Amino acid sequence: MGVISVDGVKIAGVSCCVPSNRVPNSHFAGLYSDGDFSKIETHTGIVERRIADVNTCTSDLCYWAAVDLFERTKTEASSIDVVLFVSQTPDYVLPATACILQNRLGLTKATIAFDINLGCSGYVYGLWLASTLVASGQLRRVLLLVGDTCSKFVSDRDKSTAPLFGDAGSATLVEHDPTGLSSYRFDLGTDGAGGGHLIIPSGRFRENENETSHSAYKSLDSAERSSRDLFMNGGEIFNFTIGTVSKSLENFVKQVGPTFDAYVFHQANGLMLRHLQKKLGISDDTMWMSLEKFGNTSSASIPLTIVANGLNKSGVINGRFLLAGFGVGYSWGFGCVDLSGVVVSLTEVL
Amino acid sequence: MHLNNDEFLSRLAEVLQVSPSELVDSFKLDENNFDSLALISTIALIDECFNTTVNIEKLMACRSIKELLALIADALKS
Repeated sequence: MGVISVDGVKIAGVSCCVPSNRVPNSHFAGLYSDGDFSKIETHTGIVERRIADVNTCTSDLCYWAAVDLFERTKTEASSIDVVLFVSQTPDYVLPATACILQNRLGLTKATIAFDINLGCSGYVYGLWLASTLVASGQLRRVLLLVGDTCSKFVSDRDKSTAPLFGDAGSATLVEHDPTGLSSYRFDLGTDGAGGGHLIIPSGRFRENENETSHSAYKSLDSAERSSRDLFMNGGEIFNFTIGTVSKSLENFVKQVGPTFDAYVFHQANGLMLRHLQKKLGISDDTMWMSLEKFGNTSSASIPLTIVANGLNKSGVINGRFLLAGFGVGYSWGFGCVDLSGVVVSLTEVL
Repeated sequence: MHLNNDEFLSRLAEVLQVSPSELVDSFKLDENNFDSLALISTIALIDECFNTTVNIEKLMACRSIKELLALIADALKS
């Protein structure tokens, strides 16, 4: 499928919420050898991450982000037609977390609410779906809640995952634009053959939990994790990024480009992002980053990067943005969106 | 951008935190910091220096510089 155009839509605001608990790389000092520990920042670009406590779920972070968003955009909860929750860390297997959040946020019973299970590409997918829903004007407002608390399913003794992942939630208000002047462009894709390279093997219905599910084992790469922990084949993910993602993104830019005020990519890993930046010829000042302070926050990394950089520009952003999410699935999504006049904010919770 | 083996090895030495002069054919990767973090940097270097990608399982199985350069040469041929 080629580029999808969606007209008559605008983003009113983006808010994010992160845990106040800052975890620096020194957390791993006693867990890894001195050599491995010192390489974390060099190889990943990450200095610290925000980690949620045992009682804080992704839905809590998204809830607080939504409360803040309503206040800053002067939005009545009763005006929301749809709430979408995009995450790989829902509250329960069932019911859908979007239903829980409909009630908690005081949205009306006429609200359409459902979950979407995606990670790295999730924000762009959510934005495309929300835009499509409001484009005709039959539905006016979508509350897009996107986030993850991946720290809850990584093993501290797996240096290919634990030093990377931070926790965050986001809320984005997507509205019908009656002027019809704005036009968002999207390109979305999937290659499920890569599903096994970023996976939690156990704990659902293909492989139910059993007595060994939580037992840590030492893998070929010397990591210690259980089948309930995240496994990531970083090499394969990197090859996917510099191959499929890079080529698809170049093609997308050719069709909707050529220039953007800012490039906001999923904050996978500093080395990977700088490599992609160089391949695509993106200047430092337009390549927005946030992983130094927050790590890889999975589906929340794109809105968090928008907010973290937008706050340096007086809390209102402007311009034409290229968004790119890619990873688990494999799944990828690119968006070309006008974010002029969008209010951004960032809150913290204990 | 296509660079030669010397340039690649010089930058690989930085990744492995060793002197470039140490990276001779017999240099043992598996005994010298060639871990999951270095693997990612090596993939980036191979793409940057030779504009190609290599099979990850075969890359992880490389025990020496000689085997690594042979893998890259094979990738460039195919």
